[in-house]
Amino acid sequence: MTSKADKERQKQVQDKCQALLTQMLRDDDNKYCVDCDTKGPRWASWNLGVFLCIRCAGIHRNLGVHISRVKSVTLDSWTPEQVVSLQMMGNSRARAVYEANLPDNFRRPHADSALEAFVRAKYEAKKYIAKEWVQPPLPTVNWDKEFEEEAAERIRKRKKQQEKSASVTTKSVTPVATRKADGVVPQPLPKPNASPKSQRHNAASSILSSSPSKPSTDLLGLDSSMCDAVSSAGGDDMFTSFLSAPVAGGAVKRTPEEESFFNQPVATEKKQLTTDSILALYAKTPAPATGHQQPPLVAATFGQVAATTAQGFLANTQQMPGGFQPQPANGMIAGMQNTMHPMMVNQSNPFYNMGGAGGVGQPHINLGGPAPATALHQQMSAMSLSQAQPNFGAFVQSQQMVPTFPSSQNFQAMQFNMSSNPTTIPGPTLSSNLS
Amino acid sequence: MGLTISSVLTRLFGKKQMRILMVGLDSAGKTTILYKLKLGEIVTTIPTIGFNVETVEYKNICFTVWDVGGQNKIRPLWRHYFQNTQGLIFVVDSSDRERMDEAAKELQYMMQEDELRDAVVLIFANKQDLPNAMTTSELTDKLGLNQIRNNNWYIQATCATQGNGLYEGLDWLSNELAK
Repeated sequence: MTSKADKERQKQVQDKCQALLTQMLRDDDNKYCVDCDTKGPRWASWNLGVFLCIRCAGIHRNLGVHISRVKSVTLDSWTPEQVVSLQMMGNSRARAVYEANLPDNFRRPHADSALEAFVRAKYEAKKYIAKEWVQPPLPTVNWDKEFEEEAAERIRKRKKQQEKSASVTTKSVTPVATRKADGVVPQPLPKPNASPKSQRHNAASSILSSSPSKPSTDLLGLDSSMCDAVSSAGGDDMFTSFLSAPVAGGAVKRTPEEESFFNQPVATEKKQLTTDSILALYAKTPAPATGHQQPPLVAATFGQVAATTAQGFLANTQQMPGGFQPQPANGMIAGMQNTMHPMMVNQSNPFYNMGGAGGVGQPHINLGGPAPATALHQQMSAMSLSQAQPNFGAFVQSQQMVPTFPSSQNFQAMQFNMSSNPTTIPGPTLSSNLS
Repeated sequence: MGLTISSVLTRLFGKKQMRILMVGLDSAGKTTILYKLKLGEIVTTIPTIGFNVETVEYKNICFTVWDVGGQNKIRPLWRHYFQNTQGLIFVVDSSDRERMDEAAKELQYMMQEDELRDAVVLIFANKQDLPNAMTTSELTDKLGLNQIRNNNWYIQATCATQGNGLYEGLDWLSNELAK
């Protein structure tokens, strides 16, 4: 095989990995950090199969690679095996496994040291783990066949279209087309109440053999959403998560004991999660929250906004010990210049001195410098939210810069800003959302 | 230019300067090492996106240590820090056997960089406290250190969380600077 073909294949694999990861992050299951409930995790421990916020990613790294292997969704490149490992687990299932014996009245800690203690207890000491859980071996994944089929399919499609243009004949049957036709409403992703073992198997089989020739019956409805996502990665919009909200249990067959085991903890967990995030909001951001008394059921959207805001304020108090100067509108360019000539950067530059005082707990805030910013989404958006006058202009700016960026969460956050702070003024922009 | 300034400063204050660049794969422990040297304590870190820089004084030498994020996609940024670097600290997680080849590759790429031809290379074999950590001799082999021809290098076993080995590494760097 030539090196060019190799490179192409690598790129194909990378693109697919990224598409799958993005899809997983859109899933309701993975919208919050598995350990601390922070909204919008962008990090993952691929051997544990969980999505994390950057803070918990830091804690996980302290555990050592024999316990947790942390990667950034956006700043690292992934192998298919790692992605499939995440696919087979996911945050909800991971909670069912690693928090099976968590006390009912347990409140997730937020202080650094308490959170680290919790994470260590959870994964290192396996204090709350489901006793019957057996870690399955890492899957072996080979997408070669799939890629070949995709390519063949593309060629066939093109030929068909050419034929069609010549004479209107039979309809073209592509896997994408049939799937779209079958389910106008996307199928729900596997819910945590299904057995992790069977799910693992299913996920693996659907990844390994989501070829169109396979009968769809043995894929238990799991593949349709997943493959849909893969095949129409770009066409997916932010409403997918709404449409794919829990519909029905699906055709997953479980043994009774599995059912009783997995139904329980997650259901309570889910509820806890939304109420918690709302409580967090009331605790930390009294001003914007008043008048938004929403029942937990509506929290699908509101909870996210709430968490975003709460996180923003949290970030404000925790991560900005020094007076934080928002970067000017061309901050990214300035940042890149820093990169080019690190020597020229004056030591009094607020960006890297900010945390340097130490003792504040997080002296490593990395706001200056190269900041290849995709993973800074979280931090940056939190920051714009957390400024005294939430900066509507910042969002607009970042959206203009990166048309693909506006995720549902930021969009909502923006709306939230608009409604709760009518007096927002356009100000300096945190324009680091280059991707 | 940088050298001129540092020699002027040396004459004025009698203190030597050394510009250090600290790189390595993500999660090797670079930031933890930096702040252990700077503050003498273990701080809670988050993955570095961008860089941290601190000055550390030791044996009348002022080390300016640049700690740059190690995630796969931001490694191409390392080269922007190469200019005027006198000492390169390459940190590896000794317990991460799976990624040692990746680490070796990164080190080899850097050793071919013209801007680093004069830099001395200190390898911190970090996380020696973790189970199944590789020894320095294993790592010397795995990282292909013996193939480094142009640069002086030294490998030091460390455990940043306990502070072991860090100052031994700085000792070596300061000796190299004095040469």
